[in-house]
Amino acid sequence: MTHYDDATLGAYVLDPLLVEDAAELETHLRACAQCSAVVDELRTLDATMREPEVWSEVDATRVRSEQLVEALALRASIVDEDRAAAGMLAHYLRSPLRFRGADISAQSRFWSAGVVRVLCSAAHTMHEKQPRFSHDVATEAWRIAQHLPKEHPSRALCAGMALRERAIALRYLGRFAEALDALAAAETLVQGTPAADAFDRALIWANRATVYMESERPREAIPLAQEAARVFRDYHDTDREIATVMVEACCHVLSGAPSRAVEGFERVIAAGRARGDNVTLVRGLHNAAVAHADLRDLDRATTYYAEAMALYDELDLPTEKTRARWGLASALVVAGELQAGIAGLAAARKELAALGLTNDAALATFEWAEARLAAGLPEGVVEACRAIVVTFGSERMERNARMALAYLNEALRKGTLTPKIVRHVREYLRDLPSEPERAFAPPA
Amino acid sequence: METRTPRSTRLQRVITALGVKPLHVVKEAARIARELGLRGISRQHFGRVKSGRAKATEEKIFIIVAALRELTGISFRAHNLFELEPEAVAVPFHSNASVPVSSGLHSSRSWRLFVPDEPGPSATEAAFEALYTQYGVLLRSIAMRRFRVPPDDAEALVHDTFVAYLERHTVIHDVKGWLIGAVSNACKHYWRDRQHEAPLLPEHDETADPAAPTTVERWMQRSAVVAVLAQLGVKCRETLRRYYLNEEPKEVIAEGLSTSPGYVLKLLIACRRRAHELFRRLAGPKE
Repeated sequence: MTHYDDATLGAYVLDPLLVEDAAELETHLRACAQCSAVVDELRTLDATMREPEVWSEVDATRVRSEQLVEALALRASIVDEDRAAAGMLAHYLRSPLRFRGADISAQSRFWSAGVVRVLCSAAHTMHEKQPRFSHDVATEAWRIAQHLPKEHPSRALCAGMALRERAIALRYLGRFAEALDALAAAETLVQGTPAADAFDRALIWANRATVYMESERPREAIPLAQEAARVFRDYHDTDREIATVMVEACCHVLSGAPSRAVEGFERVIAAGRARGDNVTLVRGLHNAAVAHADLRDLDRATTYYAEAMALYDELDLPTEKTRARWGLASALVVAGELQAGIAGLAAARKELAALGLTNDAALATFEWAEARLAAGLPEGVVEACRAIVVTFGSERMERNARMALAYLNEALRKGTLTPKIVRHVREYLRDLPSEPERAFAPPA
Repeated sequence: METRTPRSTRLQRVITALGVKPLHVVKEAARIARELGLRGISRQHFGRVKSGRAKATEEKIFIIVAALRELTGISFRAHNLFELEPEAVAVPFHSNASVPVSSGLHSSRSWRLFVPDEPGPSATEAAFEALYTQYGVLLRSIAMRRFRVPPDDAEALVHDTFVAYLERHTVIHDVKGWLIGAVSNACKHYWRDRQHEAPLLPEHDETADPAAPTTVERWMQRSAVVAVLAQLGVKCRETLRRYYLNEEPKEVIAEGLSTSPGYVLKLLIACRRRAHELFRRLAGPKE
């Protein structure tokens, strides 16, 4: 369909007599939604331009108010401060070693709100890849916030921001108790800005919910995540709202309510699709697949896993793709489709080992062994179990893991290995990072 | 900066379409050049530039654009009138706030301010001023109409909201959405502090008002029109005001402008078109 240009439609709305063939244009408008929408928009514009109130506001807007001048001055000072801080810090932020050696919080030239903001922003970009460095950076930001004059209008906000970033870094480092302490301290600093207090608190609640989720305290996380999501929705912060919905849904899975989780994951998936955000979409799909697998809804789980794997491929995330393959194979085994599940687990354990994910490869091998024993196919199980290696970050965990593997090897030696023993050792090793103190005990 | 030499230049097409006399452009350009301490442009040189037979320097482009803005009231940019080198015009106007920005001719000392190469402080300041101006209207409307906050207090709450935004600018993703949420919270807090003065209305409840998005959409649209009209050049704005608000016929407007009704009609069409373009940019979907 050929459309009329904006100039012709504009002239028509101004005065139909200005258009050569107004009748033809009107016929077109009845059939063309696109041109009708332009005409409607022009009529709205014209109608609004006839309102006296609008013109009063135009006149008021033309005069630069005192508040605007004040806001511009504040903006200029913040921009200057941030720019100066970025310039001073660039050299130190390039190297963790140099940053640690500089002890910047001890030097008064760094004591500005701009330095705190720049350090917090820098820390935020490092959490995932360099959590130790981001922890150091956020800690320095917090120390500098303490040096700001007591009457500084942004002192509490800066300290709160720094504590929040520090808490995120601690979470990445697995230091959950300290992360919760930092967040509690940050929350006491949120006050006195009615426009933003709810938002600032929601940022803290969302982080606290994530800490609770990661430390397997889902029941404490759920109400915080729900409240934070509500506030983010009020502030039209869709990214954070969706992230918090995801946390809540993950907590439902952890607390044994996968049917409640599915609803949340579906929201995440819908948001990811609507925004063309494949990263959000693939996380939602993968988590939804896990929830459906927990619900023994193999059809849906398989569909979601398949789409997640395709997307991981597209995003070039081989590790995540392998994890999804592993999840799908586990779901098949649980659903009783042993042949397909065993084949998937065999592929997954090889890929995990090739990616250098030793512990995950070990867990997948245990699952594979358990499935083979359950299927009456013991060939290769003994050799595979003997070759299992696990590594843990602390001496205590290493000792506990060695005890579990020794028990397994003893069963292998005696020829008493059963699927139950394999599952027991696998579940113990799987839970060890979150329960490092728990000593290994043979199955009852 | 150089112009190409096509048969019909953009400048020529605009001047013809608006019925502007070249002599008037030259005179206005001379006046602006005097005020700014620059050299004007001769009638002959302007004729050659208009027909594409001569190149215009940056300074000449600047005063021609300024003169045409003054004469027509339309906020032209250099690339609307001249075919500039692609790299000079293709640079998108940076705005942290995703708000289209008027170029503020009156404070410009060089035409390059129309198309800055990088987000300089003045450009970002202009972006913030546009945000404050455009969203200030909307936020005041929310405070006054939805939450019935008295005008002076609403003004203060809006200002506090912008200050809160500035202090947290590093953690805010959607500035406009955040501002709306923030002013709503500030208003709720305002009435909580004054419960003895006026009870909170049901729509001030913590839960989101399902009707609110439609209302907010309407206010957004209205505040976009206000922002558009405030951004237009004085001649365009006043012509639109006389036509739409005062309902003056074209003949009367022409008399006031010492011109013909035909020119007023062209001016109205051009100004309305410009207003429509800006309105679409402001009221359209977020980037």
